[in-house]
Amino acid sequence: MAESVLHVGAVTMRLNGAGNLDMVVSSLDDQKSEVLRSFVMNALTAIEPTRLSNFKSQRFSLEISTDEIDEYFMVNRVVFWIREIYKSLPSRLNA
Amino acid sequence: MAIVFSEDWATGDFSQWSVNPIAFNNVISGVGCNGGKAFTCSFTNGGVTTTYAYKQLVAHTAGYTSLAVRLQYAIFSSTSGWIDSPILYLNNWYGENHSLSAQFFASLFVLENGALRFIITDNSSPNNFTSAANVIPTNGLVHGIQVSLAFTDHATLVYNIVVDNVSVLSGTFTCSTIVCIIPNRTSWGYSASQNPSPCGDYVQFGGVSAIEVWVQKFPTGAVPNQLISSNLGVVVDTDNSIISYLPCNGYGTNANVCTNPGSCNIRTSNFVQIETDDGDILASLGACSGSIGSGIYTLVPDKKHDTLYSTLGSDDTEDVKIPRPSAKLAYLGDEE
Repeated sequence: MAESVLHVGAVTMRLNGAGNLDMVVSSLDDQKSEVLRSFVMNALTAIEPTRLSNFKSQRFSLEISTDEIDEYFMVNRVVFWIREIYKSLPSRLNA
Repeated sequence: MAIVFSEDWATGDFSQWSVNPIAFNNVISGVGCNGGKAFTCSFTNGGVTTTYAYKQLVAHTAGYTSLAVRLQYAIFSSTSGWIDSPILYLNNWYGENHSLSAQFFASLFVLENGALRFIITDNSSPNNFTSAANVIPTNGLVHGIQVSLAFTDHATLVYNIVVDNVSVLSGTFTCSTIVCIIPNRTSWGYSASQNPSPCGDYVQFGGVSAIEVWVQKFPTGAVPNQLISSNLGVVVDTDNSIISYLPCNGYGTNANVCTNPGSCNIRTSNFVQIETDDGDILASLGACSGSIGSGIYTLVPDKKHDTLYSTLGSDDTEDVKIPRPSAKLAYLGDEE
C-alpha cells in the first residue's frame, strides 16, 4: 500500500449542454483549488474537449457548475490525465 | 378546544372561542368591547361616541364583492325578556359619510319566536325578510349563524343566512335605487349594535361575535352560490386588489383563483393565517403584498430556469436562473 501525490494534467469530458461549464479542481476539504478555464458547451458536439490543468494533491475532486440563466450541462464521461509525482511507503509497511 | 371551522360548522358547536384573536387583527378588532364577545351601549372612537359596540371595516373593495360573516350566537336575553333588537349590521360604507346615495344596510334580528329577520335598507325604505319561527332555538344554547352577501352587480344582492349549517333564509334583493354598492368606493364592515335606549336592558346579552369573516372580490357572474368553510383554519383577506383564497377547492368556478383542480395559487393577501384547533399557527403571511417570493414549485420538463412571481400581488412573472447548479465528484486518488 502506498500513498501518492498526483499531478492532474488535464481533464477530458464527454459533454453536452449550453453556456459555459465552470470547473474547479480542489484538494481534500478544498484547502487547495484551481479554477480551470471553462468549456463552451453545445447541445450537439463531435468532440470531447480537453482542458489543461496543473494541480497537485494527494486527493482531488472536480466540481462543475453553471452560473447563468438557461445554462445546463450533461456529462457522460470524465477522463483525468494524471501522473504520480511523489510516492510514500509508510515505514512499518516496509518491515 | 373546538375548532371553529367546517367540523364545528356542521355541528353548530360554537361554544368556545378557538380562534386566537391575533388572527383577526386586520379584520376584526379581536377584542372590541368587552372582549369582543358582547356588546355594550356605546363605543367611543376618536372622541366620538356612537351606538356601535364594535365596528370594523373589513376591506375597501375594488369591485363587486361578497361578504360572509360567521357569528357566535350565544345567550340572547335581557332584563326585560326577549326583544326584537338588531344584533348585527352588515353595511357597506361609502367612505364614512353614510351617504344614502350609494349604500345599503343589512340588519339581522332575532325575533322572540326564534325567527330571523333580515332587513335590507337601501336608499328608500327597509325591506323585511323573515324566516320561519324557531330557526333560532330560544333555549339559550349556542348556535352558529353565517350570513353571506354577494353582489352580482351594483344593485343585485344575493343573501343567504345559514343557521347550524342549514339555510334558513335566502333570496335575491334588487335595490330600488340606482345603486347599492359602488365599486372602488365602498368598504365593507359589520357592527354589533343595539337600540339606543334603555341601555340597561341590553347589557346582559351574550351578544354576537364574529368568528370568521370573508371578503372576496369575484368577477361578475362568478360568485359562488354559497360560501363554504375552509378545510383548515382561518383565511382572511383584507387586500383590496385581488382575490385571495386558500384552499381553492371550494371555489373552482372562479378562474382567477384556481385555474385547474389541484393547482392552487396563493395570491396576495395582507393577512392569511392557518391554525390548528390547539391554536398552533401552521402558516402565516402578514403584510406580504409587494414582497418577492418563490411560492410553490411547478416542475416543467425541459425548463432550465425558475419562474417567480414578480410580486405576490400580480400575475407578472420573472425568469431567473436556478441558483448555481453544480455537481462534484467524489475524491479521486485513493490508495492502490
